[in-house]
Amino acid sequence: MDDNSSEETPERNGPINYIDLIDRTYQAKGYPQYDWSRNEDAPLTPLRRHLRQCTVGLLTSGGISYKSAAPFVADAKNDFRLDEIDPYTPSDGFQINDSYYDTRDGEKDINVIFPLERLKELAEAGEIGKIAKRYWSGFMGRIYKRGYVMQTAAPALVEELKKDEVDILVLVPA
Amino acid sequence: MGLVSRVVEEAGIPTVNVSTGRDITAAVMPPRSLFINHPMGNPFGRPAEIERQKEILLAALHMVEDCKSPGELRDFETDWGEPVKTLYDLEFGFKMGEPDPETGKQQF
Repeated sequence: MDDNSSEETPERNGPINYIDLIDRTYQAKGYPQYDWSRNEDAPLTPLRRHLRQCTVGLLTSGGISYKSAAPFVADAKNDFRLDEIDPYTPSDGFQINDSYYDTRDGEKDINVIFPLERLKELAEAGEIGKIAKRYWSGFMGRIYKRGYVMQTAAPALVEELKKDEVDILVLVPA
Repeated sequence: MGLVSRVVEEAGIPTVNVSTGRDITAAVMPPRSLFINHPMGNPFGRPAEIERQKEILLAALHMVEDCKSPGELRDFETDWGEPVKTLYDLEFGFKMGEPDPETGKQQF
Protein backbone atom coordinates (compact mmCIF):
# COMPACT_ATOMS: atom_id res chain seq x y z
CA MET A 1 0.00 0.00 0.00
CA ASP A 2 1.34 3.43 -0.88
CA ASP A 3 0.30 6.78 0.58
CA ASN A 4 -2.39 7.43 -2.01
CA SER A 5 -4.21 4.15 -1.58
CA SER A 6 -4.44 4.61 2.19
CA GLU A 7 -6.40 7.82 1.68
CA GLU A 8 -8.91 6.20 -0.65
CA THR A 9 -10.22 3.39 1.51
CA PRO A 10 -11.97 0.65 -0.49
CA GLU A 11 -15.12 1.00 1.67
CA ARG A 12 -15.80 4.41 0.17
CA ASN A 13 -16.83 2.79 -3.07
CA GLY A 14 -18.77 -0.05 -1.48
CA PRO A 15 -22.36 0.14 -0.22
CA ILE A 16 -22.95 2.51 2.70
CA ASN A 17 -23.70 0.77 5.98
CA TYR A 18 -26.89 2.71 6.77
CA ILE A 19 -28.01 0.59 9.70
CA ASP A 20 -24.76 1.31 11.50
CA LEU A 21 -24.80 5.01 10.59
CA ILE A 22 -28.40 5.54 11.64
CA ASP A 23 -27.93 3.58 14.87
CA ARG A 24 -24.89 5.65 15.76
CA THR A 25 -26.60 8.94 14.89
CA TYR A 26 -29.72 8.12 16.90
CA GLN A 27 -27.80 6.81 19.86
CA ALA A 28 -25.66 9.96 19.92
CA LYS A 29 -28.91 11.93 20.28
CA GLY A 30 -29.97 9.71 23.15
CA TYR A 31 -32.68 7.78 21.28
CA PRO A 32 -33.18 4.11 22.04
CA GLN A 33 -31.87 1.45 19.64
CA TYR A 34 -34.04 1.21 16.51
CA ASP A 35 -35.51 -2.23 16.08
CA TRP A 36 -34.81 -2.96 12.39
CA SER A 37 -37.14 -5.31 10.54
CA ARG A 38 -35.36 -8.54 9.72
CA ASN A 39 -36.77 -11.36 7.63
CA GLU A 40 -35.26 -14.68 6.67
CA ASP A 41 -37.53 -15.39 3.72
CA ALA A 42 -39.86 -13.55 1.34
CA PRO A 43 -43.09 -14.16 -0.57
CA LEU A 44 -42.84 -14.38 -4.36
CA THR A 45 -45.67 -14.09 -6.87
CA PRO A 46 -44.62 -15.14 -10.38
CA LEU A 47 -45.38 -12.74 -13.21
CA ARG A 48 -48.38 -14.15 -15.04
CA ARG A 49 -47.79 -12.47 -18.39
CA HIS A 50 -44.99 -11.04 -20.47
CA LEU A 51 -43.60 -7.68 -19.35
CA ARG A 52 -44.72 -6.21 -22.67
CA GLN A 53 -48.33 -6.90 -21.64
CA CYS A 54 -48.09 -5.66 -18.06
CA THR A 55 -49.60 -2.60 -16.41
CA VAL A 56 -46.91 -1.04 -14.25
CA GLY A 57 -47.41 1.17 -11.18
CA LEU A 58 -45.00 3.25 -9.09
CA LEU A 59 -44.82 3.93 -5.35
CA THR A 60 -42.36 6.41 -3.85
CA SER A 61 -41.64 7.05 -0.17
CA GLY A 62 -39.63 10.16 -1.00
CA GLY A 63 -42.01 12.79 0.41
CA ILE A 64 -43.16 13.79 -3.10
CA SER A 65 -46.40 15.73 -3.57
CA TYR A 66 -47.99 18.01 -6.15
CA LYS A 67 -46.80 21.61 -5.94
CA SER A 68 -50.46 22.50 -5.58
CA ALA A 69 -50.95 20.11 -2.64
CA ALA A 70 -49.84 20.35 0.98
CA PRO A 71 -46.18 19.44 1.49
CA PHE A 72 -45.31 16.23 3.28
CA VAL A 73 -44.00 16.80 6.80
CA ALA A 74 -40.25 16.64 6.18
CA ASP A 75 -39.26 14.93 9.44
CA ALA A 76 -42.44 12.88 9.77
CA LYS A 77 -42.81 9.91 12.05
CA ASN A 78 -45.68 7.47 11.55
CA ASP A 79 -47.23 9.55 8.76
CA PHE A 80 -49.65 7.33 6.84
CA ARG A 81 -50.64 9.93 4.28
CA LEU A 82 -50.80 8.29 0.85
CA ASP A 83 -51.26 10.53 -2.21
CA GLU A 84 -52.61 9.39 -5.56
CA ILE A 85 -50.42 10.73 -8.34
CA ASP A 86 -51.60 11.26 -11.90
CA PRO A 87 -48.86 9.68 -14.08
CA TYR A 88 -49.34 12.47 -16.63
CA THR A 89 -48.41 15.22 -14.17
CA PRO A 90 -45.69 17.42 -15.75
CA SER A 91 -42.32 16.56 -14.20
CA ASP A 92 -41.96 20.10 -12.82
CA GLY A 93 -45.28 19.80 -11.00
CA PHE A 94 -43.88 18.28 -7.81
CA GLN A 95 -42.34 19.37 -4.52
CA ILE A 96 -40.21 17.18 -2.25
CA ASN A 97 -40.23 17.49 1.52
CA ASP A 98 -38.14 14.90 3.30
CA SER A 99 -35.37 15.50 5.86
CA TYR A 100 -33.97 11.99 5.57
CA TYR A 101 -32.14 12.34 2.27
CA ASP A 102 -30.66 14.97 -0.07
CA THR A 103 -33.61 16.08 -2.21
CA ARG A 104 -31.81 18.67 -4.35
CA ASP A 105 -31.36 16.54 -7.49
CA GLY A 106 -34.94 15.32 -7.26
CA GLU A 107 -36.10 18.92 -7.15
CA LYS A 108 -34.22 19.55 -10.42
CA ASP A 109 -35.46 16.39 -12.10
CA ILE A 110 -38.11 14.31 -10.38
CA ASN A 111 -37.14 11.30 -12.53
CA VAL A 112 -33.98 10.66 -10.47
CA ILE A 113 -36.24 9.36 -7.70
CA PHE A 114 -39.72 9.03 -9.23
CA PRO A 115 -39.17 8.11 -12.90
CA LEU A 116 -42.61 8.84 -14.28
CA GLU A 117 -41.37 10.18 -17.61
CA ARG A 118 -39.08 7.18 -18.10
CA LEU A 119 -41.90 4.72 -17.42
CA LYS A 120 -44.08 6.56 -19.92
CA GLU A 121 -41.30 6.23 -22.51
CA LEU A 122 -40.92 2.51 -21.80
CA ALA A 123 -44.65 2.13 -22.45
CA GLU A 124 -44.39 4.10 -25.70
CA ALA A 125 -41.44 1.92 -26.77
CA GLY A 126 -43.49 -1.21 -26.06
CA GLU A 127 -41.16 -2.46 -23.29
CA ILE A 128 -44.15 -2.60 -20.93
CA GLY A 129 -47.85 -2.91 -21.71
CA LYS A 130 -48.99 0.33 -20.16
CA ILE A 131 -48.55 2.62 -17.20
CA ALA A 132 -51.00 2.37 -14.32
CA LYS A 133 -53.91 4.78 -14.02
CA ARG A 134 -52.54 6.08 -10.71
CA TYR A 135 -49.13 6.16 -9.03
CA TRP A 136 -48.61 6.55 -5.28
CA SER A 137 -46.58 8.62 -2.83
CA GLY A 138 -46.53 7.74 0.87
CA PHE A 139 -44.94 5.69 3.66
CA MET A 140 -42.30 8.45 3.93
CA GLY A 141 -40.30 9.57 6.95
CA ARG A 142 -39.76 7.16 9.79
CA ILE A 143 -42.47 4.59 10.40
CA TYR A 144 -42.42 2.69 13.65
CA LYS A 145 -45.92 1.17 13.57
CA ARG A 146 -45.08 -1.93 11.60
CA GLY A 147 -48.27 -3.75 12.54
CA TYR A 148 -50.35 -0.90 11.11
CA VAL A 149 -48.35 -1.00 7.84
CA MET A 150 -48.74 -4.76 7.47
CA GLN A 151 -52.37 -5.09 8.58
CA THR A 152 -54.00 -1.83 7.48
CA ALA A 153 -52.04 0.65 5.34
CA ALA A 154 -50.44 -1.73 2.84
CA PRO A 155 -53.59 -3.87 2.40
CA ALA A 156 -55.55 -0.64 1.68
CA LEU A 157 -53.03 0.17 -1.07
CA VAL A 158 -53.41 -3.37 -2.46
CA GLU A 159 -57.15 -2.76 -2.90
CA GLU A 160 -56.44 0.36 -4.97
CA LEU A 161 -53.80 -1.44 -7.07
CA LYS A 162 -56.32 -4.18 -7.80
CA LYS A 163 -58.93 -1.62 -8.89
CA ASP A 164 -56.38 -0.32 -11.42
CA GLU A 165 -55.42 -3.87 -12.49
CA VAL A 166 -51.75 -3.26 -11.75
CA ASP A 167 -49.55 -6.24 -12.75
CA ILE A 168 -46.23 -4.94 -11.37
CA LEU A 169 -45.53 -2.39 -8.63
CA VAL A 170 -42.12 -0.69 -8.64
CA LEU A 171 -41.31 0.62 -5.15
CA VAL A 172 -38.70 3.30 -4.69
CA PRO A 173 -37.76 3.70 -1.02
CA ALA A 174 -35.98 6.88 0.12
CA MET B 1 -41.29 0.07 1.88
CA GLY B 2 -39.79 -3.40 2.10
CA LEU B 3 -42.69 -4.35 4.34
CA VAL B 4 -45.20 -2.80 1.92
CA SER B 5 -43.75 -4.78 -0.98
CA ARG B 6 -44.03 -7.99 1.01
CA VAL B 7 -47.75 -7.32 1.65
CA VAL B 8 -48.42 -6.37 -2.00
CA GLU B 9 -46.56 -9.45 -3.25
CA GLU B 10 -48.39 -11.72 -0.84
CA ALA B 11 -51.68 -10.31 -2.16
CA GLY B 12 -50.71 -11.53 -5.65
CA ILE B 13 -49.10 -8.49 -7.29
CA PRO B 14 -45.40 -8.91 -8.23
CA THR B 15 -43.13 -6.13 -6.95
CA VAL B 16 -39.59 -4.86 -7.25
CA ASN B 17 -37.75 -2.47 -4.91
CA VAL B 18 -35.19 -0.09 -6.35
CA SER B 19 -32.93 0.35 -3.35
CA THR B 20 -29.98 2.55 -2.41
CA GLY B 21 -29.65 1.09 1.10
CA ARG B 22 -28.19 -2.36 0.57
CA ASP B 23 -27.95 -3.38 4.23
CA ILE B 24 -31.45 -2.17 5.13
CA THR B 25 -32.93 -3.95 2.12
CA ALA B 26 -31.01 -7.15 2.89
CA ALA B 27 -32.44 -7.12 6.43
CA VAL B 28 -36.08 -6.43 5.47
CA MET B 29 -35.89 -8.81 2.49
CA PRO B 30 -38.44 -7.57 0.00
CA PRO B 31 -39.48 -10.15 -2.62
CA ARG B 32 -37.10 -8.70 -5.26
CA SER B 33 -34.65 -5.82 -4.96
CA LEU B 34 -32.26 -4.11 -7.29
CA PHE B 35 -29.48 -2.37 -5.39
CA ILE B 36 -28.14 0.83 -6.93
CA ASN B 37 -24.98 2.17 -5.29
CA HIS B 38 -26.05 5.83 -5.53
CA PRO B 39 -26.96 8.40 -2.87
CA MET B 40 -30.39 7.85 -1.33
CA GLY B 41 -31.99 10.65 -3.35
CA ASN B 42 -30.65 9.40 -6.69
CA PRO B 43 -31.67 5.78 -7.26
CA PHE B 44 -32.11 6.41 -11.01
CA GLY B 45 -29.06 8.65 -11.44
CA ARG B 46 -28.49 12.35 -11.92
CA PRO B 47 -30.83 15.03 -13.31
CA ALA B 48 -31.28 14.80 -17.11
CA GLU B 49 -29.45 11.44 -17.32
CA ILE B 50 -32.31 10.06 -19.36
CA GLU B 51 -30.55 6.94 -20.62
CA ARG B 52 -29.23 5.88 -17.21
CA GLN B 53 -32.61 6.54 -15.59
CA LYS B 54 -34.33 4.39 -18.19
CA GLU B 55 -31.73 1.64 -18.02
CA ILE B 56 -32.11 1.28 -14.25
CA LEU B 57 -35.91 1.27 -14.44
CA LEU B 58 -35.83 -1.37 -17.18
CA ALA B 59 -33.34 -3.50 -15.23
CA ALA B 60 -35.75 -3.43 -12.28
CA LEU B 61 -38.66 -4.46 -14.50
CA HIS B 62 -36.66 -7.27 -16.10
CA MET B 63 -35.89 -8.53 -12.62
CA VAL B 64 -39.61 -9.08 -12.07
CA GLU B 65 -39.59 -11.31 -15.13
CA ASP B 66 -36.50 -13.37 -14.47
CA CYS B 67 -36.13 -13.50 -10.66
CA LYS B 68 -36.78 -17.05 -9.49
CA SER B 69 -35.57 -16.98 -5.88
CA PRO B 70 -37.70 -15.19 -3.25
CA GLY B 71 -35.90 -12.29 -1.60
CA GLU B 72 -33.23 -11.92 -4.30
CA LEU B 73 -31.08 -8.79 -3.92
CA ARG B 74 -29.36 -8.04 -7.22
CA ASP B 75 -26.53 -5.53 -7.64
CA PHE B 76 -26.90 -3.15 -10.57
CA GLU B 77 -23.61 -2.34 -12.27
CA THR B 78 -23.21 1.42 -11.89
CA ASP B 79 -20.57 4.00 -11.12
CA TRP B 80 -21.65 7.15 -9.29
CA GLY B 81 -18.30 8.69 -10.15
CA GLU B 82 -17.56 9.97 -6.65
CA PRO B 83 -18.03 8.68 -3.10
CA VAL B 84 -21.69 8.24 -2.20
CA LYS B 85 -22.68 10.85 0.38
CA THR B 86 -25.14 10.41 3.21
CA LEU B 87 -26.88 12.79 5.55
CA TYR B 88 -25.39 10.93 8.47
CA ASP B 89 -21.75 10.65 7.58
CA LEU B 90 -20.19 13.89 8.66
CA GLU B 91 -16.86 12.67 7.36
CA PHE B 92 -18.15 13.73 3.97
CA GLY B 93 -18.74 17.24 5.25
CA PHE B 94 -22.44 16.99 4.60
CA LYS B 95 -24.34 18.41 7.54
CA MET B 96 -27.97 19.11 8.20
CA GLY B 97 -28.86 22.58 9.44
CA GLU B 98 -31.95 23.69 11.27
CA PRO B 99 -35.23 23.28 9.37
CA ASP B 100 -36.68 26.42 7.81
CA PRO B 101 -39.20 27.68 10.41
CA GLU B 102 -41.76 28.57 7.74
CA THR B 103 -41.63 25.63 5.37
CA GLY B 104 -40.26 23.04 7.81
CA LYS B 105 -37.77 22.04 5.09
CA GLN B 106 -34.32 20.96 6.09
CA GLN B 107 -31.60 23.40 5.12
CA PHE B 108 -28.46 21.89 3.62
